[in-house]
Amino acid sequence: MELQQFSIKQIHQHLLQKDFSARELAEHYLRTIKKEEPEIAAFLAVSEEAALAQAEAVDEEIKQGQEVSWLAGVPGAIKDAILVQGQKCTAGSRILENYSAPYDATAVAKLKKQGAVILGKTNLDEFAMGSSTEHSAFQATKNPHDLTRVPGGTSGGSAAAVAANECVFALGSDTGGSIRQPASFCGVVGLKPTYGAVSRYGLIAHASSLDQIGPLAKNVEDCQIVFEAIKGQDKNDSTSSDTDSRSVNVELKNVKIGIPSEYFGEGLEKATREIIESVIKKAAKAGAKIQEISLPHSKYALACYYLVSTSEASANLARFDGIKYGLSREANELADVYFQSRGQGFGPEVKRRIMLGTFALSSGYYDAFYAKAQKVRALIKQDFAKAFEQVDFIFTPVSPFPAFKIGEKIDNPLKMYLSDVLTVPISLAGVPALSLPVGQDGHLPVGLQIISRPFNEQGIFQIGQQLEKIIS
Amino acid sequence: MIDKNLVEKVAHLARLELSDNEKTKMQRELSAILDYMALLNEVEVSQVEPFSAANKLFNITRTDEAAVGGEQVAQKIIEQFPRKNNNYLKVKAIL
Repeated sequence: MELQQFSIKQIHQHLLQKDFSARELAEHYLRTIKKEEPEIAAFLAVSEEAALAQAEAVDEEIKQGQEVSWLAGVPGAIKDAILVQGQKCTAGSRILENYSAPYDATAVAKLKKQGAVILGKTNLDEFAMGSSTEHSAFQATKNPHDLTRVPGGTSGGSAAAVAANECVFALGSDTGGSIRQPASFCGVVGLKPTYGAVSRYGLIAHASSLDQIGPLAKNVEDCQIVFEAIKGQDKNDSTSSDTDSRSVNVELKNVKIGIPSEYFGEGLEKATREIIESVIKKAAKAGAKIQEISLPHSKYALACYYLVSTSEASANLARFDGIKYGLSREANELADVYFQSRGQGFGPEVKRRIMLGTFALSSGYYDAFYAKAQKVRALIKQDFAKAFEQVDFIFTPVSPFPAFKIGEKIDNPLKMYLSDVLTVPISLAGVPALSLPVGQDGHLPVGLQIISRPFNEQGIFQIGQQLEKIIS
Repeated sequence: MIDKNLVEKVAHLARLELSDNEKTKMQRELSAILDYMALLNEVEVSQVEPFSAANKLFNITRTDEAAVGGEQVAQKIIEQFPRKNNNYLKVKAIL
């Protein structure tokens, strides 16, 4: 049996029917990891023993006739910014190179409770800052569709691992596009949940008003199953809330889809435009009402994002000071411990962002930069709220272009930031969005971004599934 | 907009030690980025309330009780100390 072909529900059936064991499934994925990793380099660490033990526990439960959930025995990978107890958690940084997670992130605890098998930790841009995974302090991950190209970032390891069949699903995190863009580049499904839908407890913080943990998988149904498992209010995250659990029944023929003109401007590459327009036509053919809309403050979103997120990051990364944990440089004076530990432990992109954020928050500049950005953000959020009075979903490309070459943008920070232009507005507004693979530019995957109003993940998944069928 | 002086001042605030090379590079890169930020000058915001993160904001409290994590939790934290003396975190004197 070719084990990697199976979806989560199929795996579940086969396990119950005892066609193969959870241990055999885990072994298969661990073998695939060994085979692919020399080229893909998606994993920073593989936890073989722990994974096999988790798998065996599930096999025992099945043997005892106990009821097991969909995710029992299903192998997944976790982005290395999300804590898995007892395993190293580096955030892709030298400053946490030897840091061992003292507890499980809530999302991870929930997966473990369902019997999911955790294969290891995946690569990321340092502290989730970047758009290509090239800013990892440890290794560069390659795009499985083209090894000379980036997998996207910052959840590049997670996206590549799913695309290379090294795991069934993965968890990533998204602050400005870090699940959606790598999902698009690697041809997998990825969800950025509504801000607050998934607990951030145990996610190493980048920007606290933007960060969300989310699932990546090969198809929409699998993505939804993982989301359902990890979502929910958590007393350890006061910004988390429960989504509406009532079932929704959404069909393409009954929905209004908004197409914002601002997302289809000059910077959009021709092949990407054609692919997205073709999907919109297919949705129309299935009965959806297509409406041109405007999100007028879109052009300010990138500037707004790089002020808000860097300001928050400068505060969040202040804890890495060489005192209680992490890299610590020996020095004569206390202040020098801070300066040197941080100076040597952080990579260039992280330093750049801390500097930008510190500047934006500093006296004399605070009003012109941070305070201004927070007001522009309110306008961007309003744009989406107004749009969702008219339409149910918004369709856009995820990225203006498919996966770029390794090294292509690394020397130009601003150019790298511009990769995020289509994903950051969604993050600023706090609304949910899915990246769905809908075509290829040559051999490079192209993703559709499906956006909806807060806490309508169910609606997004249903539309996603219907589109999946139409496109295949 | 950003001169070397300002780079040094901000680096100091951020407790980041930068080499001369890094400072030069940083000045160039931050200048380019901040030039881009000038785009926000176009937006009229005098009547706008700043963004608030959650859809509804209210305080979440718990009873004022000490949560007892015990030996295990303490050990996990102590294990990570870069410098320690028995179970005490060792730091530079501030005199």
